[in-house]
Amino acid sequence: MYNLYHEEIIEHARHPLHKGVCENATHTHKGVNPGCGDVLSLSVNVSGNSIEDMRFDGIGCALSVAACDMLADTVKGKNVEDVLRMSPGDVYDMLGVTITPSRTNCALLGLRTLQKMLR
Amino acid sequence: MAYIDTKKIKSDFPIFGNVPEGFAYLDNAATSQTPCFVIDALTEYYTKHRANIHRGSYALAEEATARYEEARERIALFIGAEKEEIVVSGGATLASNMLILMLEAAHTYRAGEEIVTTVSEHHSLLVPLQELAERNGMVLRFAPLDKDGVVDEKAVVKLITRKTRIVAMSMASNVTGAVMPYERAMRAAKEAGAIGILDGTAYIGHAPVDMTTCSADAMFFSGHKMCGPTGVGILYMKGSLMKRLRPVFFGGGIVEEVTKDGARCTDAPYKFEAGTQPIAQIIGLGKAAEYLSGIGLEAISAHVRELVDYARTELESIPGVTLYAAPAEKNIGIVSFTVLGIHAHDIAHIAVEEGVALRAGHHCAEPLVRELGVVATVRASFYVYNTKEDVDALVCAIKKAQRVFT
Ligand SMILES: Cc1ncc(COP(=O)(O)O)c(C=O)c1O
Repeated sequence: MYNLYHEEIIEHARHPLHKGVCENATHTHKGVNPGCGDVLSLSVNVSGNSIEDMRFDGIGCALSVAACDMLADTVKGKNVEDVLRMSPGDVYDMLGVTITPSRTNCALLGLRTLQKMLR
Repeated sequence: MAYIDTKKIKSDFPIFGNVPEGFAYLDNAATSQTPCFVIDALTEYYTKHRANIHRGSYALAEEATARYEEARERIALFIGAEKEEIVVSGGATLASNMLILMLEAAHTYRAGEEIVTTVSEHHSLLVPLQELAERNGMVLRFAPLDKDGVVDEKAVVKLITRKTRIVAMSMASNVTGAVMPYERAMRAAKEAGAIGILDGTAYIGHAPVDMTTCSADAMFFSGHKMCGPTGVGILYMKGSLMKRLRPVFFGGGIVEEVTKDGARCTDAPYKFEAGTQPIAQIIGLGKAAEYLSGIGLEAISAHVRELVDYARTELESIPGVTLYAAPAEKNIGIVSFTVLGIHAHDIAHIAVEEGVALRAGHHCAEPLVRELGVVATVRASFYVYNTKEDVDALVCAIKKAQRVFT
């Protein structure tokens, strides 16, 4: 019934694996969702052209936290160019749920912040 | 329910026949629903009297003009004003911005002069004030709130000095529902020779008001939060202020004579209504005022307070819930809250699946929500058609969310 709040999302939201700040961060950036006041501090460690680590901190709903946590898993070891090419659809696929228009900002806060930072 | 027969009232609102049975619409502070009485008036205008106003001499144009002016009169009556004090506008935000631009055009504001407001304002008042202050080097002074979210009466009066040029505040908060001691503040503004402005958006149509005995110079509100159509609002101004102000929007309908060199404006309030106005909408808003008066503003207020009281009691008994809501006797019908460990968005989203419409966020009053020490609240807002069952559904939704997240 709660397709949005399936087990995996709840698990990532409650026990995110990538919370915190990267040691030796090469980039940091603060993302804000103006609609809801959510704040996300992202940090990554880029070595050469590859993302070694991504961590996040801040306040967000279950969806934005889960999306961020999954994103951190996904981008680890990836090329910066590949990350810059990621689309909202990639995030929705990762989450495995239908995202209604009222929640797209939540789901995409992580990706948007990351891409802004790497650009 | 003693004050209102909600079953009968609900049947006046066609939307409740088009949503699942038991759907709890608790987002009235964002916008209210529309009764048949109003919808029929819109249809009647479009099907029987549609024409532009004030210009044509054919029957339709005269009918439309008559209905437009009749609505102005009805709205004036509704808020205890003269019809000449009612300016039709596109909504509260437009009215607020227009008013502040007109004040700026008519006065010389100097660096260091002050604007007194409160931390509880909606962005539609706060941001235009901030911009005004910025342009003129003025200083914004914020009156604090007490533990119930009500503006501290003594503090606000104390802030008003000879340096104060404008005192601007809401009559009630759209986040905590707190009804403000606005008359005291407006009186102090008047005594200090400052302009007093009220944002009546959360208040008008929810409780009785009498602008004749109110010291405010100006007050604005939107039609859509009081059972009226969207796209229309009112800027009320006392005659004395109106006379001093010049319009900032110019166009058709407000000028008596235009030559290549310039134009001469008509009289107030018409000179503030440039261009084709929201004709159908104002007719609808007049009907909304009539509809609400028929029920009685005292009864509406009492009914909503009963729901606030019930909601506060029920929500307080749920472990982990923190309320941000004024006590019922000081509340216009709004209860904000947070739930420990669950983000406001997640509560609102899960509530949807329980048939409850809520709102999560800062409700366009970000400084207030920050002041409360949170980034977002969930807001339940009540109106004339809501019932205790709606509150029960809200309680179920919160408990469900707690189950999902544990
Ligand atoms: C207290 C208050 N003032 C002003 C507004 C702005 O109203 P509108 O969006 O209709 O212009 C709102 C609406 O959210 C409000 O609640």
